Amino acid sequence: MAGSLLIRINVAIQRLELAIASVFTRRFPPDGFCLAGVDVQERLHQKPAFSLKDIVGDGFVWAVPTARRTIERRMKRRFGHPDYIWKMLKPKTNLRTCNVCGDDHLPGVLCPTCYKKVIEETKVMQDAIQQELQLSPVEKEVVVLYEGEKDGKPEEFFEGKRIVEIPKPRPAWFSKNLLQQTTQQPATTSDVKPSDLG
Amino acid sequence: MTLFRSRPLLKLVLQYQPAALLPAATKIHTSALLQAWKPEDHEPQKFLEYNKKIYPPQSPDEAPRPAFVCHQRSNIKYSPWKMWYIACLVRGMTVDEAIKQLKFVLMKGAKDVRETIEEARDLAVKEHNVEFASNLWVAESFVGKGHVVKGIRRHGRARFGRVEYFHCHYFVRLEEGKPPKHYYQHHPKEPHQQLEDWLQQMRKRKITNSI
Repeated sequence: MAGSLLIRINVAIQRLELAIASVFTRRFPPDGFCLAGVDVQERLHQKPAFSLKDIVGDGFVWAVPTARRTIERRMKRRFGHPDYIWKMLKPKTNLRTCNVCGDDHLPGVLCPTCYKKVIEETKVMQDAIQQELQLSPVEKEVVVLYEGEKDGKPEEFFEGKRIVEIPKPRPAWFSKNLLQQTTQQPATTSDVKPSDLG
Repeated sequence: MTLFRSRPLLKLVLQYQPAALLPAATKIHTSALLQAWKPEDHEPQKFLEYNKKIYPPQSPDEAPRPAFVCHQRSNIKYSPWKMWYIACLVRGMTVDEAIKQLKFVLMKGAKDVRETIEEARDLAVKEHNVEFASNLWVAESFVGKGHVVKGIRRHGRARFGRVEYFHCHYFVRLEEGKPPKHYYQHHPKEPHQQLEDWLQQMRKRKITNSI
């Protein structure tokens, strides 16, 4: 029992010595196993370091950045350039304010809030006309009247005209001047009595 | 690791205190309720904490601290990198000017930013002791990344690409008073200031090794 233990200890010490020696010399075969008369191959060239590239090939390092993006490139991408394309938003200095409703709009455009009201009112008028005339041909002039406008006029005023009544009061912004016809004959005299102003 | 989250459970228990004290209380076991995914628990909380801070009273010789309101909108379906441009436009403007300019920005995120600023203005007047709604300016305006939903799409030749649907958070802080002339510190100097600086530089010159 003691003998085998000693043997085991000896073997362990020998192995340890071999390991230490191999760390320093790194010759193949190791010192204890060299045959006399046989050349020893010195491991002059270290085996190249193992990398995943050997297994996967170049495919592993596709589509990956190789260099850091410089601050100039980053800023060019985010801000652009003032002489070429400036990417930052600039506040608009050419906005106009509507005198009627107070909302802002771009120049060269009717105030959208006021125009929307006009569009809605036009739709109401068109629906009323369609309901009144339906599919009959339009041979006479069509006159659209709001609440309370028909009573003030004599009957002969509406001779030769078709009346369409809308059961709601006239909007404040809708003056009667706006319904002047474009096919009117030019006036022969200059003293014209103004009528139907509103 | 606890199965229950203690703070929301405590809130729930305090809410339902009379019921919890009843012997036949059915609301004791609430772990399923607590563990349910709620969108309000995943929104950013830290920015709104600034609203809750109570400042000590100021002495008469101190400059009056202007009132401010912090407001945010979470998980707007827009890219944060695109939203950044809109946030930068609005910085340092009065609220009226900011809302007016945002009406003419042709970007999807401009609508959300405008609505957030309008909400913040109303909150300032209601809850943060601001007298005039027009006397506010945008002190801070920035964007954070929100939810990202990821997916795959097919390209030609059986190649696959990654699709990401970004959401962003928009944060705004309105302060009472007039906005500063220049929002950023790095601004071009006035001509008289430039002249003074030049004169100072000229006077600082010295002939080397002279007295």
